[in-house]
Amino acid sequence: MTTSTVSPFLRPMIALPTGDSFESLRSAGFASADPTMKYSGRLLGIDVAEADDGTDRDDARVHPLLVDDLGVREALLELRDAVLEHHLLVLRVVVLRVLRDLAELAGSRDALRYFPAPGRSQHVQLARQLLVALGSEDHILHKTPPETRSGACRPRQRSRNGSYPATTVKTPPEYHPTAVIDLREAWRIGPVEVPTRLVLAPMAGVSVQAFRRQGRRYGAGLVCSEMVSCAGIEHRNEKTLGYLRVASDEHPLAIQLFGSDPGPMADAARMVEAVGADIVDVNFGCPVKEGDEDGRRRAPARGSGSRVPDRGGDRRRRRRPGDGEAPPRRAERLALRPSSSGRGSSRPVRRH
Amino acid sequence: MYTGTADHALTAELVSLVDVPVVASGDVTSRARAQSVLATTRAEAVMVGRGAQGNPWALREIVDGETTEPTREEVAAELVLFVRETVRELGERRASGFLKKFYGWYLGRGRFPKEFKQELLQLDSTDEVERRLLAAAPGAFEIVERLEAEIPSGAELTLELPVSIYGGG
Repeated sequence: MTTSTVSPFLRPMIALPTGDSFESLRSAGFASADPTMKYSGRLLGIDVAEADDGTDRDDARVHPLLVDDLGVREALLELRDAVLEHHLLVLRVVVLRVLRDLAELAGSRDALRYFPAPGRSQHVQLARQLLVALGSEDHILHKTPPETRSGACRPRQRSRNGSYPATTVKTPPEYHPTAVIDLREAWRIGPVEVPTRLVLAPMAGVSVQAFRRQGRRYGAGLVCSEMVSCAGIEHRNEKTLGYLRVASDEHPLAIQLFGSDPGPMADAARMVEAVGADIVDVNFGCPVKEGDEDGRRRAPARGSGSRVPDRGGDRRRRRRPGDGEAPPRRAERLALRPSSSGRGSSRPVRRH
Repeated sequence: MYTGTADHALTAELVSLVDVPVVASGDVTSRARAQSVLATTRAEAVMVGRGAQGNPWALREIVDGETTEPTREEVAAELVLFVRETVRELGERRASGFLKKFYGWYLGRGRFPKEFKQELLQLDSTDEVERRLLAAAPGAFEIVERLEAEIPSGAELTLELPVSIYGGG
């Protein structure tokens, strides 16, 4: 075994045609071969077990001889159950040929043209059936189950450095073959109509305006802002108010608030409405670690947690400022907090 | 970063208990998954978060079943546009740090070599990042031009805030 490394980056991109046959090759790891390929002297093919490691699908095109269909296929056959698979392949070809010839023969003996010889388009159809066999589940080129192949956008789901975490989720998909739900269907949240059934999540440090507008272009029906501090709005913090900038092509848009003082939260909600957001989204506790850092972000969730079971008609009243066991007011909190002096953004600002 | 898997049986239970629309969130990374979550939970919609980071094409796949992967040029073009818009929104100083995580998100997923991402992370200004991206995928320039012609800049569309950020309201 020898190993050679070619940086795919030095080479121009070659767009791969798509279609059954190429898709199936790609999913087997050929077209997405790593810059590192292993050659064995005997086979002069690609070691498939290794070829899926890497990143660049166009690299396979760099060595056209090595990915020659037949050569590769034979190499693969040797890796698998060579005799059986090869026979099956031959059988497919033979059956298709016979079908085609039959049609031709029948056509020549059929004066009334009930069985005309296949036209050019039919030849193409028959040839495509062979490709369908190549694309079928049990074909030798497919090591992966079909559901992961049809999973689309991402050719592989591995992540070694954790830099693209969405692909690390390995939940086996549930199948409900009868369920065909149109995600382009509109639905409503109160008076707000949302054009698709896909919502782009509010994510701190991610959901900036550029992210939201891009998400809208690609099909999200509703987009959400990063979480915005109600205290920051109360103090007219410049950075906080920056989060409230809304572009007119973002609608429908939700702006997410977090806070613990009911009064400032109500004011912040009015402000969110005034800047043109369609929905006020309140963060009642989120899985991000930062949520705990200053003790305020999760406060609403904690504060109301014990009261959830008896929610009734008075739920709304309980949220009113100064009502019942409201969280400590700002002045009290500042007094309680050990290091409140060193924080620029949360320092109370005199507003006159 | 949050990790874990979502238990949508709980979502289904919640949907059965309340009469407001519920949006199911968690582990929705593909159209098949989205449809299965919608069918099993009877939620009104699904929410996608991490699956869309640096990958708006995942949204397209989920909503329309459009499975074609973006070309390098398309990826580079969307990233260039994203960089420009973010710089406009946050200013160069904040944006250059903010954007770093996005480089990995966009260029990962087997789209560009890892070394290229590392290279971008070393660059000081977003201008250089943009130049480097356009050099790496020359066809991206035309796509950026086309996108910018089609999509108005966020600057033109962004409303003035109803309060002054100086001196309070």
